[in-house]
Amino acid sequence: MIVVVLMGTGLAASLRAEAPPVHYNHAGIMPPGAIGSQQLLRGGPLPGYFQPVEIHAPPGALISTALAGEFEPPRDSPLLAGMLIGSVYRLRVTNIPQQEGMEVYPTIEVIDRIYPPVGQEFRFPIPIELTQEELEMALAGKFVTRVIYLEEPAAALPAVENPNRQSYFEAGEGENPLEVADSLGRPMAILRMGARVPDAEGPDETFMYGSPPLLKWKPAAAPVMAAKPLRRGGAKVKQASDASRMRKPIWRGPTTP
Amino acid sequence: MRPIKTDSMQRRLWLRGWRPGWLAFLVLLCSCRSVPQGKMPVPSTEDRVQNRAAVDSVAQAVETVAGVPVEHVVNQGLPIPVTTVSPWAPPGIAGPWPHDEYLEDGGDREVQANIGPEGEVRGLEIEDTVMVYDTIDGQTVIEPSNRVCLYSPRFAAVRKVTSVLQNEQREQLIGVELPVKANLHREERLATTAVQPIQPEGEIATRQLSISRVGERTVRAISRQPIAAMAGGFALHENFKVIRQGTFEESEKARLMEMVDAAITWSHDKAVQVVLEGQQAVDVTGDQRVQATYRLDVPNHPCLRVIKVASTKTARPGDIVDFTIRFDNLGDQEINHVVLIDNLTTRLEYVQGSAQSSREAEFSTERNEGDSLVLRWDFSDPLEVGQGGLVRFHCRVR
Repeated sequence: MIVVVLMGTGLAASLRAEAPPVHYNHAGIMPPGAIGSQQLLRGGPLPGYFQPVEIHAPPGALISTALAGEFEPPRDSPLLAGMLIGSVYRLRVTNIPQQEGMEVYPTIEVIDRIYPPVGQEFRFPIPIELTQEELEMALAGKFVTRVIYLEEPAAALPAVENPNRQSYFEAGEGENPLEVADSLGRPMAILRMGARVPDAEGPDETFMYGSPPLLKWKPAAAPVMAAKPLRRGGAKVKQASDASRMRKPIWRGPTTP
Repeated sequence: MRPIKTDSMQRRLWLRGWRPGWLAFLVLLCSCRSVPQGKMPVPSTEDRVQNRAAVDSVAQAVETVAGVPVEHVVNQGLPIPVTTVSPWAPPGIAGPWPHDEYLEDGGDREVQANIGPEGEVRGLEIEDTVMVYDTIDGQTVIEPSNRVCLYSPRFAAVRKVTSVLQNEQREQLIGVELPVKANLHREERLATTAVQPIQPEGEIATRQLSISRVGERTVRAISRQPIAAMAGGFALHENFKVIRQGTFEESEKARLMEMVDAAITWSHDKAVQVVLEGQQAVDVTGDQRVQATYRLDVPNHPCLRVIKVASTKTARPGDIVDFTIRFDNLGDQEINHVVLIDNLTTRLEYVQGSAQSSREAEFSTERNEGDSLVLRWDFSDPLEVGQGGLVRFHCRVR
């Protein structure tokens, strides 16, 4: 009996070890946080890592992040921040072009990370786009799910990428967007729009998903040119060290009741 | 007579005078206790406001003095430690890892490049970089370069839009009148085959074995060769198996070394010179010992070294990356018809007009299956021994 149990345990462990990191058992319509929390159970260096993301919004739109159960003052796009894997971050998008006075509350769930060279984590963030079209869809009562994935280089699209637009595929009727993303690359984050709006009393902790901690990144200041022209033969430039000092990540604390 | 206080006595008196102080310090230490788990002091709202105000004042002070923009830090509750995560890779997997975040170019991956019957290069895949040249004896050799890896992840998205639609539908019975009748089917088949006994015309015979497999024996580099036609047999200092039969015995090593030292003493300056077929032979093993193997080297060792480097290790879409390929003839013969072929990967776009070459060459491009280009340099002059060249071009990361 013990031998049978041990054999069964070993078989299950080997099957789990050989399982590819895909999400065929998950559906894109699962509630926010369900996929990311199961992703953490797979092990690896995922818990506690702040994966940088860059949120793009239409020109003029403002983005607010959640802190301590409340929305912070809105900021311009793009917004660069580090997000914990498996947590759900609620945003508020206001001042939408041609939809002034309307608000959209998307959520972002980071389900995987990338491994950039040390010190260049914020140079390679996961881009998350809030397009005008999708914001208007959410305002019209539709539910938009966008799974952002890392392209497989061998199967990448040869088209020259426009840095301002992220190429995307449309999942058809009955297709699971997560499964489609799995077949095209490695899913990294899920953006959902059009689900809920806060209650009349204001957003509660459930709506804000506990306001998980966020690493905010202050945009680097423009490099300052030297006041004097450089001498022939070279001169020491001090602006480099100042610029590197400005690009330190800023820690935003978690909220506890 | 006053007693004389030595240094040690003075130290003892000094310690005795501080005894109450030591006791008070011990009591103070014992009064400290750890906070039990689950009863961590939670800052009140007032504390948080004061904490926020203090942090703001510190940030403003730093901003004023140093002139550096500082984000005001709000630290509420228990902080989660921020750890610097070094590049992690699963054990046992060689870098770069993970491969889907890197652009690779160069080398000869998967199917090995080879020469077809018409002289064309086959098996050249995307990302491959090879050099093709002819040797003096008419062979065509392919030499791949090393592989260059750029960190350049690119993202895309899959979108799904769902919505609730109100739909009005009337249900009604659908009736179809479909008369069914039995069909009569009749088929008559004619006999088309007939079985006829055939008498065998020949006999079954067993063929004689006409081919036999011949096994070739391998030839040993050092074989047992008993020495014959030597007058007087072996001398005492020749009593080694390696001398007599050419087989080295480990047990004879200690005694042999003595003889080796003696031989080196005598043969250091005037060593045996070996000449094979009128040419100076090359000593291929060791330097100072009594035995040596000589080989005649004919200059037929073509060798081309190809090194590919990139200007950066990381790149974002839209960045320009410079590639340089250095090649050198390290062989012992001149090589002809040197061709350099670089099959660019899908996400690398060649910048028109950026190709340079240090040697005279005909540059051409051809579109590949990855919607990128195959770059080709046909060098007109042969590459002599010790000569090399440099090729440089720019690519834009897609």
